[in-house]
Amino acid sequence: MLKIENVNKKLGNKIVLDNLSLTINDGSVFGLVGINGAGKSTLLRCIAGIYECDNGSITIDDNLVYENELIKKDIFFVSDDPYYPINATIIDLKNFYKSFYKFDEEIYAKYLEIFKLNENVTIHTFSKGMKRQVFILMALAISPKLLILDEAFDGLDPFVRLTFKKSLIELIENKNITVIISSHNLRELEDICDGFAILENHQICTSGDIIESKDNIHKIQLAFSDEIEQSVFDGLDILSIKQTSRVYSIVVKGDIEHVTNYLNELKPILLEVLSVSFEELFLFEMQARGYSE
Amino acid sequence: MNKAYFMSLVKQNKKLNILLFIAFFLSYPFITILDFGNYPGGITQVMLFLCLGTATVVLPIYNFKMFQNKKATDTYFALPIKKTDLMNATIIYTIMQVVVMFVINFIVGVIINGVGLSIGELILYLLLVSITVAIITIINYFIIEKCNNVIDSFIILLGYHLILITIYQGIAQFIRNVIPYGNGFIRGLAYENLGQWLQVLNPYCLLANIFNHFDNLRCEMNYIPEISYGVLVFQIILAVGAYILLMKNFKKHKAENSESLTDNKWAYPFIINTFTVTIIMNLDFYRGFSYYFPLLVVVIVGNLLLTFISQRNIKITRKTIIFFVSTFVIVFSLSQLAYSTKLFNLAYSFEYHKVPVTVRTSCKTQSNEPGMGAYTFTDVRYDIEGNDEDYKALNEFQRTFVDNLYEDSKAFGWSDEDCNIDIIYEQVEFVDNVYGYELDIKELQILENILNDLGYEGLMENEYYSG
Repeated sequence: MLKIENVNKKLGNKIVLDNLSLTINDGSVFGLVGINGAGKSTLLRCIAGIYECDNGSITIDDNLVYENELIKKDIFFVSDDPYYPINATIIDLKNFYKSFYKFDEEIYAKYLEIFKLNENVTIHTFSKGMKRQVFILMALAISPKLLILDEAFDGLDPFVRLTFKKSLIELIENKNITVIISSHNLRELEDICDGFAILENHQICTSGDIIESKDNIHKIQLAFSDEIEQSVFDGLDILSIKQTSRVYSIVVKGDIEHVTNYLNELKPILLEVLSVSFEELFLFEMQARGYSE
Repeated sequence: MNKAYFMSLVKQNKKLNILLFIAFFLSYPFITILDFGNYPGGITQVMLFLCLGTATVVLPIYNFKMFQNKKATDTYFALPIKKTDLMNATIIYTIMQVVVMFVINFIVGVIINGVGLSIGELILYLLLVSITVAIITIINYFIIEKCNNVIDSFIILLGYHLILITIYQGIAQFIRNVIPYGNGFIRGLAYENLGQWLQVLNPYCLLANIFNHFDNLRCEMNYIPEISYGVLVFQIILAVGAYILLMKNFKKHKAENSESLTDNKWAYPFIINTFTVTIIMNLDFYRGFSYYFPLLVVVIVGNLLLTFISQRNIKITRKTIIFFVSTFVIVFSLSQLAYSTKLFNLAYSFEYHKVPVTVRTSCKTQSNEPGMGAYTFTDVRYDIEGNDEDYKALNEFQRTFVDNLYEDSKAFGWSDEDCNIDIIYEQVEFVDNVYGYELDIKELQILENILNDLGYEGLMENEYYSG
């Protein structure tokens, strides 16, 4: 289990992480989302043991990660723009990582074939997406207990994205690995993640199970025979409200039964509950915190 | 050291190492092969020194750049290796890169040219070069670690090696400014002694000294370098200290600082402040504003330039102005104080060494010999190996002479009858041991009388007529 407790991190004079705490269970796929500059990459680098926390601790099964070579053997970090030595080929990179991590040659060969990559070509000649595939290939072959992916789906074509997601699911099933993914592509995260956290104002503002959280937020369309005051909704935890004549579109947080009972008492001529996507959930949360569309 | 990481460095840098091998091969033995019959020995010394010197600057910067690059630190600091192991492997790899290339080419050169070195001498020589390369590499890594990017690494490394010269020059010139010319005390700080001081403090001088003792690396090389082993031991101690501090600092080396401006107080602030202080120490306040004004402009412009380089921006803060003005005032006040106290009475602190003393006198007098020229030039030498009495007598003479200089502000120049004397305390290293004076004939006679009374006879070395 990955435990992040009261972590503070400053970059220069700027506070990036402020007393941040989070727990991620083994075998989960965890999505880390937030607006640009929220501190997602910094948090991931702290988890990977690249940055040292100013305060607080990051532990895996009660062992500190920073400067712990044994724990770091089970962690693999793929940054948003991964490094490779100049003129290095895929084979060179494979040999490099092989000397530090357990490396599954079979998985390597399998995905090399699937991704249709030539292992003898220098990496710098590849497109951005292909470079990303190379590091996904390394991550899959290393199959670490904790895989950290920063902006994981950037530059990947739909086929590779699908293959990657399938392979991750396979790894989780076979090896019970934990994956932390940060991405702005929330639709992709929704497909694959079970847990999530939204990073805002240097802290985790919302976290939990994606399905549960989605179940707790409802988009409801209402129509009334007469115009009504918006204040009638004050009894609900409203995240957003839009009115077009006598038609209202509201986003509300809470138990659906309680919400529908409350709304039915207002005698609407139409009440329709629509499903909320993870992307909408994120947007509603951010709007509720003062970020406008 | 982490072997896996070390091997990854070896594999990554194959092309660079081939290039390095070629560079060393061209320096030695290629030059000797190229011009076998008429080989100029000095070129190989210079080439080898340049090759080793350049490699020990460039390779640490090149190899350390992966800890200064954002993308690379994401990879290397995420690896399951302790930071100290990363650094150790990098240092050893850099030393090996230089030493292996040098050793292979040197042995090939020695064989090709049939150099008359015994196996023992060859091993000792290679060991000396390898140890010096290791010392330089460790010290350079210690300096580079303070930097957050490659450009700053170059500048700060250069700054650290050059600042020794400005420190020496600043102190020496400060003392020269406050003590009138001709005083023996400042002889120890003369320009010709700079090399000795630098050799103690700067390992590159040690490296240069190793090569300096080989006139010919082709066939006449049959002796080992005459380097000071005391200096070598001192340099090793310096390198050990630098290594301990490097490891301590690298543990705290922050990946997040990569590619940012270097903000370590021992990097730019140290270089800029030392530069400012030592250049201000050069200002000769007694010769009037017009004399020191140009140098003052140099120090202000230099300070601004270095500040711009460090911040990539001109930002003059109140702190900078306060530092500059206070340095100027302190140095000026110290200078006044030193002048009025004759350098805190240090100017008279001649030491009595129980070492042989040679007194040489060169005298120009009006010639009495017809047809032999207008002047007679005589060079006389006294070899003094006496007791404390002799030294005291000599010292007394020097004191009197210095006092006269202070009180009369005597300016010496060649006249009809002038003499030079040099009092040389022999077998003395690194200290003030040569005292030279320009006297008139009467003062020389006083010295001759003192020496005669002590029982020493002058040995005529040379006598000729001219003019």
